[in-house]
Amino acid sequence: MNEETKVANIRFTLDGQELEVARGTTILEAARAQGIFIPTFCHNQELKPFASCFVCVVEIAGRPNLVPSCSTAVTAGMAVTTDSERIRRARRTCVELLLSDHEGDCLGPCMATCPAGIDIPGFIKHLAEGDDRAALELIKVTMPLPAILGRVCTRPCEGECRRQLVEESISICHLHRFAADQVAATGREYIPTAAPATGKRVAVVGAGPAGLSAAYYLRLLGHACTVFDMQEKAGGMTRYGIPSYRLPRDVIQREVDVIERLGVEFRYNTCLGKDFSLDDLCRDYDAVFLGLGAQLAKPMRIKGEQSAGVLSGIGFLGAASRNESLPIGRRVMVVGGGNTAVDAARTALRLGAAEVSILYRRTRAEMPAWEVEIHAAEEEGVRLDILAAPTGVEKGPDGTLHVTCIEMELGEPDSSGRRRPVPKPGSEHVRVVDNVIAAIGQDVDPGACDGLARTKWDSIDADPHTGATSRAKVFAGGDCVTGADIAVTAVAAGRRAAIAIDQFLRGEAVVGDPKLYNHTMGKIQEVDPKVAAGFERAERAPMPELDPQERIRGFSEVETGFDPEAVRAEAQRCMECGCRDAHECKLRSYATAFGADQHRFGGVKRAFERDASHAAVVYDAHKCIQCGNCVRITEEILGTSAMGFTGRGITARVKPAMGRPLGAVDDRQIDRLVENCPVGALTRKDDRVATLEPDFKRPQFSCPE
Amino acid sequence: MSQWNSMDEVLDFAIAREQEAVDFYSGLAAQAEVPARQELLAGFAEEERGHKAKLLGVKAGGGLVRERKKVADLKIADYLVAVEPRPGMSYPEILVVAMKREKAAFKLYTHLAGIASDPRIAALFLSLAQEEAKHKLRFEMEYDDYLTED
Repeated sequence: MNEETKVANIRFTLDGQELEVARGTTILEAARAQGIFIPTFCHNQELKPFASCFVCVVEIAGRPNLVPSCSTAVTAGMAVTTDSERIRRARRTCVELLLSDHEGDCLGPCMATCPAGIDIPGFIKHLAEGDDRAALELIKVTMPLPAILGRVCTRPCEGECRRQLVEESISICHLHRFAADQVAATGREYIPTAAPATGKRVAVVGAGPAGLSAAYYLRLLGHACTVFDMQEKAGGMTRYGIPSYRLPRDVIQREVDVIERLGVEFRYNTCLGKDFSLDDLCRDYDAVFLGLGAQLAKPMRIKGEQSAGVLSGIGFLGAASRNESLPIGRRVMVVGGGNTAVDAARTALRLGAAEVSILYRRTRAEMPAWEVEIHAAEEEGVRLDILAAPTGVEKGPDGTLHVTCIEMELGEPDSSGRRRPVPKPGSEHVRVVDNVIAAIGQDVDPGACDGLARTKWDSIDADPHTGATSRAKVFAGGDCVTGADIAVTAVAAGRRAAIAIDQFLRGEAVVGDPKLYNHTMGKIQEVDPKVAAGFERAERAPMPELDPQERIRGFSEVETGFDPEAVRAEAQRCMECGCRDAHECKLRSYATAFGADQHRFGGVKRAFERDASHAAVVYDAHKCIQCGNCVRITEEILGTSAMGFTGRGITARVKPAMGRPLGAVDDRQIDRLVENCPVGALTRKDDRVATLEPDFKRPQFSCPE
Repeated sequence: MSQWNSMDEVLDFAIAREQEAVDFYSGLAAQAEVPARQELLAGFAEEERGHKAKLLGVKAGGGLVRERKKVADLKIADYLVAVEPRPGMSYPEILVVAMKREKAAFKLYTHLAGIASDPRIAALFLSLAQEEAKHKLRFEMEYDDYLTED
């Protein structure tokens, strides 16, 4: 036999297709040659098969078990299937087993918590480097109102900031306010370039946070966009529900102007349901986005509520915002515990009220208002009457309001363990005031969304991910879907809907923004404090403020903003959480593709263990998945033993050999190891943590090899 | 109505009241404009049907045990202005109607217990009153959650 005969080809079937390959070819090699995707972690074509991760399993007809394709050679007549429900289940299980012993965060917890998904570590890094414009551009990839939100966001991101394990969270919100203000101050606003015109027209109803956000991203995607609003100016609740001492009107206008300069048309003083109908919009536009907000003040439903002098919080703030004349007396009682109540109380002071109190039926700890604002109100002289509620109002002969109040106490814990307020027997008493401002929340106006499926609360019943409603080509987002919520949630909903509307207009499946797998170490209280090791204390920059006595003399902005030096120092406090490999990581990619669940398999996870002794590379042993690539590369290719396994079975770990630190690994070898690590266990120090791509769609994670 | 001759008479009265409640909520459900609220009201009707079934069970020989623990009273129904039932009520309005109905039933049974001469009948009325107090609490808790939003 000649040489050719010895290596004769063999015939087999791959996914129903008859093929011929050289003897000795593995199933994985044969599949890849055909462009068939099989996921792998431990496979490396330069190395001998390792077959430890089992994510590359395939089915062979006649064999009961799945086999690893990386180490199984094709045999004559074999019939191989590379994709089936059984295979996908097995691969998902493999991925979930690896995830169960993988510790780390794909994204910084701030970014993962932000409803708008702002690339917070990314923009803070730009600020630390003094590049305010790059910071702003990155923020606007997912959030178009950084100057507005930088002043009024309730900052869920800061609640999860890992810097709290050292001392205090980073002042994230004030930092993005700075980026926006600083770029505006240069006189060269950042106006992104919109995609070429698609010829499609979208109507956006409501120029609040949701509508502005939807319009901004729809325009960037190339669609013509018209925003309708019943008010005379844009901003929605940020303009008509938040006082100017917190959010100056020129700041709102500046960010609206950017959207207008992008090419969005605004039509004010036009109201859905009065000036035009949803049918009109559906006839004249290719798609409609409803960002109507929650505009109706919740009534107190107590006797005498209709008396002159009893106002709604949102009505009062709206009137104040329009500089309407307000008959505010000397003594004002605000009812409610949210931000609207606190804003109304502080506004009443500024309009000349001498005694302002906030009546809240629960405890101070339960007040939904932002603690910073409650504190500021108290500084300005607002009195908090907690555990108290009004039960009736009567107009006195002298025009004053006689408010019957009861004191509350916390009752026995209910089945959920919550102690609800109950009236204290015999505590009824009358208080005399000039005005009562009822600020106990807002409801969605049912009249505005006629013809659409609604929830029992009258909010629009829309898909939370795409905003799709019960009516074709009508999408909705923000408070009109969720009920009254924080502004950043509405901004996020506007962007999500823009992506879905774009898909709809392009005739694609309307699936919304692709949701990527995000591994997390958990909430701040669950995180190993070792994460903060090596970070020296550096106190959070305090926001400069006007003196309380000066504040209440007018509506000047109370928080005056950081100076550049404070910003650079604050930005440098960022611990840059998140993974430097999040966009390349195979574990994340496969977890996304297979819909894996981090918590499917419980048990003890490996502990946080970082070796930063190498000048250029960090080894996060807690992220290692034991694929052995680095160990085998050093042994089989480089001929050294720089990395090795220690322990056995579930206690096995990959470590620099001989108990040495990573810093002892030769510089010429380390690059090879980093390149071949399929996850973020070995990463370069100068790589940035996960950042978004500059075109506002997030990178698509499928299963590319 | 102060004299009741038998436990069955009391139970028949209570069963008829539960049926009235079933009819009341079913009627509102039929008139509701929003499907989500039709379902909600139909759910209330179903709950009342459950209460009726429970009482039928008691009449058939089962017991109605009064728990020792006092049912919490948030007293929200006490100070909210009554809402006239009508088609197209909002969810908070439905809750007000429901809690006020349960409160009225609680007061009625408590009153009847107070004037009943037979201690066994008085105890039965108190058990029924406690059931109504539980129903009222459920609606008050829902309303309390509604108020928590801001």
